[in-house]
Amino acid sequence: MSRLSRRQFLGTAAGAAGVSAFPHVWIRPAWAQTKEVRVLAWTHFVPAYDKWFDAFADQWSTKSGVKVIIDHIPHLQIPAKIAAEVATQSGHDIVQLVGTGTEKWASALLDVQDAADRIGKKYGGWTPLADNYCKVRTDGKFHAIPDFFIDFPGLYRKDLWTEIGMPNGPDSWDELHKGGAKLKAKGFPVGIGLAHHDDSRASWRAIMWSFGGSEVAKDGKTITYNSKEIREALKFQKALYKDCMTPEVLAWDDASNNRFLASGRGSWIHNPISAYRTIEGSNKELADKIFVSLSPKGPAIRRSFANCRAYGVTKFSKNADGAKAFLEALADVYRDAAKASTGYNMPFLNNYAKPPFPIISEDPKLKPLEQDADYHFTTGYPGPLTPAADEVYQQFVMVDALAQFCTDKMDLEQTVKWAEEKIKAIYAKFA
Amino acid sequence: MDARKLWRRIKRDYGPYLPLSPYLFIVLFPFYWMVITTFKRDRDLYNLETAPFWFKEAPTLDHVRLLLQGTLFPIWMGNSLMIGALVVVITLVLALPAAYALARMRFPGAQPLSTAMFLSYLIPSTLLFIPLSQVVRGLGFIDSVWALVIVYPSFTLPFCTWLLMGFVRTVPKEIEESAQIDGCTRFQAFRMIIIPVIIPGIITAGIFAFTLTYQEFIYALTFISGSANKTISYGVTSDLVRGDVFYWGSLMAGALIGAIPVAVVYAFSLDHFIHGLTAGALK
Repeated sequence: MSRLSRRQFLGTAAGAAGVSAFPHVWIRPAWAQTKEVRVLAWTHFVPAYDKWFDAFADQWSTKSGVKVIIDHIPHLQIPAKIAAEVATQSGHDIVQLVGTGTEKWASALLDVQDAADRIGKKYGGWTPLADNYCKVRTDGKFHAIPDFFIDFPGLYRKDLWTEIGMPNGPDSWDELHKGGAKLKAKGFPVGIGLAHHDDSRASWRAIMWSFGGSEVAKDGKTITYNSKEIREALKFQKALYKDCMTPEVLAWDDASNNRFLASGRGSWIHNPISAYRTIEGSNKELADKIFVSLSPKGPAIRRSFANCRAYGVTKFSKNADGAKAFLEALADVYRDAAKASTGYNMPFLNNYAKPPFPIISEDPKLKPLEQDADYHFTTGYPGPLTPAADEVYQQFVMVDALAQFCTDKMDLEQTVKWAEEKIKAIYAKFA
Repeated sequence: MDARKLWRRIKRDYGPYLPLSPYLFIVLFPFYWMVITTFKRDRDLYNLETAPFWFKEAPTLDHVRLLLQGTLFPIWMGNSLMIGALVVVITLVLALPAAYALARMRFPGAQPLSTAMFLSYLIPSTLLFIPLSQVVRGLGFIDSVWALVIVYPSFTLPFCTWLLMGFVRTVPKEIEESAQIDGCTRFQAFRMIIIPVIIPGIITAGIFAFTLTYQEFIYALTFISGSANKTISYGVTSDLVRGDVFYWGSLMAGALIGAIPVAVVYAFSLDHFIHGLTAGALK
């Protein structure tokens, strides 16, 4: 047998690549087809949910004669994708809004008040959170159809908290501080990320709100960061960081607290149930020790952060009616969707926000989540989710201020002044 | 053998490896980590009580199985290879005459043009993707692999033209002039004299174009939506990073398998590549 020379190999490989490329290359883009609705959605943390969603889209396609294609991409990349599509005025008929609020994209999204009204009428109306997330303040109309929100409860190791006499985990931030300090001394710290990622922005806000503090007042305009409540919250947050955590939280990303709990070292994290569900799949023994509690209450109230998801219909959609019809059909099967998400998706419609919840009400461990719709709020709380509030959130102002305070780079007054100036500058831009 | 002799022998045989070892560690450790993570069970991966550099539990093929059967990885790999090959061809076809013209011909604006060409390479893709979206849409290539085939030369061309200019300049003008005295046209001299002489440079430019294309992410994210049209770098992260859940084993398996074609290309053209790099550095 003759030996294959390097030149022959490279030539053959290039030829083979070219030949194998042809079928791919000449496939006509699905974009060019008519009577279709294309959806841009995130890759859900539960793979089974995406399968369910794709199957539902196929079923609806068969029934309606409108082909629905769902493109799943990671949530962090969705804003860049929408920006590119808006710039070219072409792309998906439906885009999923992932936490950034509808108002930011309002000029690119159709008014879908008619569809929102029809859905709301059928299912007891929309919750205030849905209203806040999807209604655009300039015209007072829905420019997106709310889908679900992601809650932030507490996930705790029952075995460890039982050892220190708190078998139900901490119910207040103060209890978390006291118990967390004891558990850190035993080698099982608490973990809340304090870095540039979603969970940090959500969890530390939950504490700030629970202490009665906020960045902005109910009118969505008056900056309220320079307050007694914020100072108390900052002092508590620093104590929580110093006494109950390790400095590794300063370098965390969204997956870090999941890993921390999965490693068996974490005693408590503030996270959606995705962390628990993943451990269930990989380490049943550890999962049995992990329980879910309400997000802790503060001296003022119990508040936690809701990361919202909604679908907007783009102005460049060639099939806006089909898109709206699909979203209405999706709202009809909310319970199936919640089931497929293994209890991760939380409801935006009043009739769905009452127990019994699919999965959650059937699992005693997850039962506390039934109350989540009552105390979860989103960016800009207690005011509306305005583009200014969103920018403060996107720029990590609050997280950066806190990180500098916790690491002793600024004292309390410097921290408050620094953050207040940043927030004011951002709000002035949008005034 | 006495101790002194043994020490001398160790110094002779293994001494040269000593200065090399920190470099080898830095270069090879990520690959090592990739390999063991690919085959580690999740429970073992997250276990902080054991040394992380080896297996505590039996290795598993679950992550590779998920990658190959639970995602469209083989299709993404096919797309990446196909796009890479086409971009290399387009880049070389356009960059070779451009490099020749800029290096050899005297015409007004040649110098500023070559500088401008290099500067265009420095514009980040995060700024270019929006205007390029309009071009891609105008051509009707949104969500098609063709979008990437036409967009990627926007960063491979300036770099490869610049690289090839250096190689063209290494060829003495006299050889080309001799060929022209013997009756060759300028194009024939370019085809029969310049190209064969700068083959190592062409291979080097081709490899650079291929690897730059193969690892690209932003444009793939912007112009591609459908799973079947994704490339490796985009497909692996879009399907195996779900919210705050990272499928580390399968992500590493994707990186490992995805690295194989690049390693093969390098292995088969290493001599030319090294020759090309060193020749290109001299005039």
